[in-house]
Amino acid sequence: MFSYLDAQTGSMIVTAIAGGFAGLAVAFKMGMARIRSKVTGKPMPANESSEDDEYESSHD
Amino acid sequence: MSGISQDPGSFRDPLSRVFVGDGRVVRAFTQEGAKDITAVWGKKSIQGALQSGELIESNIVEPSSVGLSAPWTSAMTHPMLPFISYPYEWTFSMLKDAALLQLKLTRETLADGIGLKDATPYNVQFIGSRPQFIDAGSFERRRKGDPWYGYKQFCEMYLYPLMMQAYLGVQYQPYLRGSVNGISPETMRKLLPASIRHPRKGRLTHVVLHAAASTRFADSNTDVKKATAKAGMNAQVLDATMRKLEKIVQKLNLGDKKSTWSNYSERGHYLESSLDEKQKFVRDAVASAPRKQVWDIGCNDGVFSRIASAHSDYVVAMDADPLVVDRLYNTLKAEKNDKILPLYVDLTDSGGGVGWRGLERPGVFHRGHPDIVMALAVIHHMAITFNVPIASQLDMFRDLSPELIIEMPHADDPMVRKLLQNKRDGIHDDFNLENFERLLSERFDIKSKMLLAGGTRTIFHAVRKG
Repeated sequence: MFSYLDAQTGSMIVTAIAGGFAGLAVAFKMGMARIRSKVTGKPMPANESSEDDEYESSHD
Repeated sequence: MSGISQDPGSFRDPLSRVFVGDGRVVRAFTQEGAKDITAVWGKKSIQGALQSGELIESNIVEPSSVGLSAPWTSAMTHPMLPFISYPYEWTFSMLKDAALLQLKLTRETLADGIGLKDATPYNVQFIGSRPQFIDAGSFERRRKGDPWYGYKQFCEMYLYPLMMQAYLGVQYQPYLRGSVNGISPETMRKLLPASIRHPRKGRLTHVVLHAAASTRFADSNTDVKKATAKAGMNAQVLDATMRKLEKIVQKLNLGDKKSTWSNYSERGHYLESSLDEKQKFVRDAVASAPRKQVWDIGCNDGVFSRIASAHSDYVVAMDADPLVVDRLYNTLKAEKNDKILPLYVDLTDSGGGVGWRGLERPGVFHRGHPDIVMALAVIHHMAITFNVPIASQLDMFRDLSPELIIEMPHADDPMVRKLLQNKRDGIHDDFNLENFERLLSERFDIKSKMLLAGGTRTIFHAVRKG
């Protein structure tokens, strides 16, 4: 189940960039994936992980 | 049969709803929503926020025990807050403190594997001067690669309004009063130009880039969640983003230091003896019966709110000058005062009925039931400056409260003369004590009255007829 707010691509890229160096890599990959899909005409690749194992564990 | 009914402002999150009634607030969850709340509720960050009071007191109950059935499979009860206020009634410091609380909870829970679904200031309330997060339904299990869903909303509802005031000296309250969704990145980019002399921290990334990216990717049909997950988005990146945002918000400051009424507390036009006897009159009137809630309209520095607070459970202190209210908020905050709620409310333009069907965020008159209202040194401003007839003001007070303490400056009062000096002669001839007392007596029984020292003002304690 997704959060009820619409996660917009533009805003998500900004959160990555605003996060600094590590985030830039994420933003770059998101941007590259978009460019690749435009060039090849294929849709963006889906994440292969299954529904049940995708929760994050706590960091403490 | 349960006496609770759904809150008209609770519908955006399909997984949970708020019901109100029988003197309590109930938050109900669907089966899907309950999975999240069950998984996150025992976590250290949530329990810590509950203990500190940053998160509203919550007791998990069986839905059937509060009269709810399918589709609600889980529920919790919360205490009824004395008064619900909205971000457009908060001053700069209040919105800033609410923003910092939002970021703090989002960061602390993120470290616990919890995500927040949204980032709206409508999820924060002030108990006196203390901000509290009230939407327990916002917390969910964080999925790997999840973005920060509330980022855009945080910008639109917290960051941009604060920037508008701090960087431009422009009040954000009228904007938030007119738009339940806040200020969009595109609008903010147009409003906030670059400045070499006054660097505007956060503008480039959170305004310019955000607006450009929103426009550029507006037609995107990407599965954003999967795309961010695949690109390696993780909690560390999001935490760094929020940490930086925290620093930006902390550095935003209220620029204006002076306003029309910000020096009113000196009360140069009052005689000392007049102030003393006025205070005694107010104290006696408020203390004459038990009071759950008092409204102080035109509270200024809160002298009379404090007197009322000593003889009541809760005071809502309103003033039409945001700078004056901001100063009061910071004073109350320093005292950790949770009995006086300071709000920026201009009764001649208080707004109301915004959002879906005009019911999502009701106006100020629908959110509280004062036992007694104080309108001290305020009606001449509404009558002369804003042309609200005295009769109409008294109708409003009669509809609002069973008791009233009201100060009437006479036609020869220096402040009345000042307000009239640039008005056409004759149009406010009805602004006089005799007419006022007649209109008041038609609606209220006058319990006591006193001519204040100086002889140009009379104060009344009146009880609604019938």
